[in-house]
Amino acid sequence: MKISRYIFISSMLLLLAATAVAQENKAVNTSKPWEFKGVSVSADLFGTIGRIMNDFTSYEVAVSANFGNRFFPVVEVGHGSTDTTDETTRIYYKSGAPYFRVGLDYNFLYKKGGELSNYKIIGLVRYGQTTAKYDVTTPPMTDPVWGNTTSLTLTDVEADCSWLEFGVGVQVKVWKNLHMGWSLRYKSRLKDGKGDSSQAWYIPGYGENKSGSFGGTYNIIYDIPLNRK
Amino acid sequence: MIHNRKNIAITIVALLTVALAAITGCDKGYDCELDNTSYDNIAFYTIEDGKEEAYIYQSPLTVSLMVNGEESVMINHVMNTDRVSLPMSYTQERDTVIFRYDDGLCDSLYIDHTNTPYYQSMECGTLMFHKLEGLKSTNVWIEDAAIVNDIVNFEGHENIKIYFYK
Repeated sequence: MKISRYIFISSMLLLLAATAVAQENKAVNTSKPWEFKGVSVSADLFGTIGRIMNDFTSYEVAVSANFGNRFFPVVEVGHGSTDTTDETTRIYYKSGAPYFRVGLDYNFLYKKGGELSNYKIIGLVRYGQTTAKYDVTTPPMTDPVWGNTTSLTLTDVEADCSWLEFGVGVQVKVWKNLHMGWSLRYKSRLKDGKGDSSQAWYIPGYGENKSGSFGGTYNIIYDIPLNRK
Repeated sequence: MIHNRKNIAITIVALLTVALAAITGCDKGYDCELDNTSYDNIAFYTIEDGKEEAYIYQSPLTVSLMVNGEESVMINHVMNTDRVSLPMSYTQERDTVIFRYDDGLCDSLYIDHTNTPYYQSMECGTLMFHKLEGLKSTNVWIEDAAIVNDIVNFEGHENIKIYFYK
């Protein structure tokens, strides 16, 4: 929750900066809505430091196409993993799997030209999917009536999961073709991968297996130059 | 100019909406069960003129489980009851339930079942579910018994019907 607030505050500051520039800049982008303007690649830094804030680590890259500086179809691929033991329940959980998301970014500042074309305020939608395998080892459970104990060890349990994401983001040009940006996303689970003996606790690309949650990305983006004559 | 303001206003509203949701709407988390034992629900019935009717056992009824060779009372002298819920063994494949009536007589109900530990989450831990495989009973006051839902979990379904002589 603190992270979400931090992202929000940062986004608002960037928004204010963009608005201030807008008041001084009258230039207009004259591109047609579906005019192809290039391809960008990006990497998410937020997931790589996720281990500091929670039990999950992910590595993610994305490719997006720019149409009229307005529509940005996006493909995000990554690998998420966890390897942890809960301090209270003493349950050990290990999982790691690739995931992908496809979707669209919409730049609300698509009409801006000049200085303001260095900024993007984005609305985004994604569909994500993964097939995760996980191992679980539980400590002995004691039968409260009979007093016997039993435990559960599961290996390579497969969970097919999918989800939707909606959110907003901000991108700012840093230097030449290099941009940086945030996105804040609400994630809504579609398929939880529930099995006969368990359900996945961690869904790579989604996070903890809850019906809905918030997440974020911090991206370094590089616009691949087009060699047009 | 008006169009610019409109776009920026839309953007601000969108950001504020999402931010408000992030700040006020907490993650939808798990609803952990309070204990990790699921109970089989046994309901009482009688047959009247060939028709099944719910049956309220009005006299004092004591319900026990055979635990490690000894009778362990689960429900003591309950009156006016039409159902009981009982824990099931985590490791045994047959539980013996004893119904002791106020006339000093008793019936035994033998429940065959399998046991399946269910991993719920890191926070909630592990639960124990059961599947009913068979049922037998003595016939002092119990005329018949039947499995109506073989999965014993936390959904509170009626699992077993006991038909008492009227």
